[in-house]
Amino acid sequence: MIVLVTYDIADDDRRADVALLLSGCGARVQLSVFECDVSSRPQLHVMRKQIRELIDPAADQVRFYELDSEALRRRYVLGARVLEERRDFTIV
Amino acid sequence: MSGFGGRWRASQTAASEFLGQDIGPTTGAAADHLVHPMATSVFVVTQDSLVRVREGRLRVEKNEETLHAVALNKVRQVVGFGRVGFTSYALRALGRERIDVVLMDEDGSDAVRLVPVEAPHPGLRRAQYRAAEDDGETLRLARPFVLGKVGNQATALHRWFPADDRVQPAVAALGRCRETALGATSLDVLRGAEGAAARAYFQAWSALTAPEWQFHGRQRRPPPDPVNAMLSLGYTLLTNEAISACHAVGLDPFQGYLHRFHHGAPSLALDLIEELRPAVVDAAVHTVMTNGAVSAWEHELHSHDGCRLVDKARRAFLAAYENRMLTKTARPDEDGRASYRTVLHAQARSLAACLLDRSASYRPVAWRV
Repeated sequence: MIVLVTYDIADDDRRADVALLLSGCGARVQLSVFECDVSSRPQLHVMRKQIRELIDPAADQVRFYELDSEALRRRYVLGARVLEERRDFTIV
Repeated sequence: MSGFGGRWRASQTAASEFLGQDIGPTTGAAADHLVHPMATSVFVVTQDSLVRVREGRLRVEKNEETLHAVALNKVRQVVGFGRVGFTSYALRALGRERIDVVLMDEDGSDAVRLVPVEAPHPGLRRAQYRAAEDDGETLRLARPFVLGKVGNQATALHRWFPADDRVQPAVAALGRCRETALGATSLDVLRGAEGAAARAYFQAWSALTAPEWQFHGRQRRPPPDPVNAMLSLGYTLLTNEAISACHAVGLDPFQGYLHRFHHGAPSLALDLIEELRPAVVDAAVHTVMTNGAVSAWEHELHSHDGCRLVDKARRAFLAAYENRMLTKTARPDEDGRASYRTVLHAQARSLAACLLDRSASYRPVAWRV
């Protein structure tokens, strides 16, 4: 299933850590929005636990929305702006 | 650094508006053109750089500075050109994750690859070698590679020089070669048809290419002009991906049918890429020649190595190659569309199925005009 993970994190280092973790899970569709590909509920719990350990619960917030295929099918995107992080390939 | 985002602009035509909202290219048919994979290729072109792996991240560093970092599970392939170092830990981590590692020199020659320990498929390999000992079987397996390639060469000429009469003789010659290949009763006739088709195709393409490219036909060692240099680089990259596809399926990449068994040549990988050469590599070369991404003078001529691309031209060509590999095409084996890269792997599976079941037939990729 796809889980939409979005965050507001006050500290730069914490934000970078969470982004690093989530970048391994799915596409970074916006700067603080990831469409994560999660293969099972236990895996989702592991991801939530890892993020819980990274954030400051008083200052930060992370939201998880489970998207079924119908919701994904109805996804609508306006605009062509794409993040650097979403490159289809890299030449360095 | 390339991706697809910067190349598209929101269209101003009525078709891109719906109820007053700008739709743009990320929705609708235009968004379907490329596949956007989770696992991507990383081409390391910066000389004296170092590839390392730390905490599940792949990093490319030079002089203590990190040039690029990406999560390891978002990488499917790392290709290093020239003086690119890998830590031993990185090599083992990449091998464990079954990420392709290919090293070549800056021209794309001398390619070596990291081969992880894999479980072969003995039944499939036995079928491969048995088929190679039977001339009839070999001919049956080799024929579709030629038919696919010649058909796609004709498509290339149609697409690149539409409404140009000078291309007609070559297209007619390709048609005759295709007929010969269809009816060939021996491998020699089949290979002859392939050779004649290639000559006609490259002759027409070079004749209709602007003279500043100095492109007079296909010539390999050494490549005398930037077009041949790009073709060689592209074919090498494609061959390596075909070797990887063979390994993934359990095929021996060195036992081919159209290509004879030569010591050291991955004949089956070369067979599998035939139908893709025009649609992927030649198309990428043609794109960069015509859209200005590469200029005719962006190369150096060396006495022994021939033509070598400059860094900017190499990066532009690699981007064009990746764009072609990610472009969707119709799948010959089932309905729907997939990227050329996915289709290459599917074709390897299809070939394996034909080896195990003689009633199955291999259908090459047909690049539509």
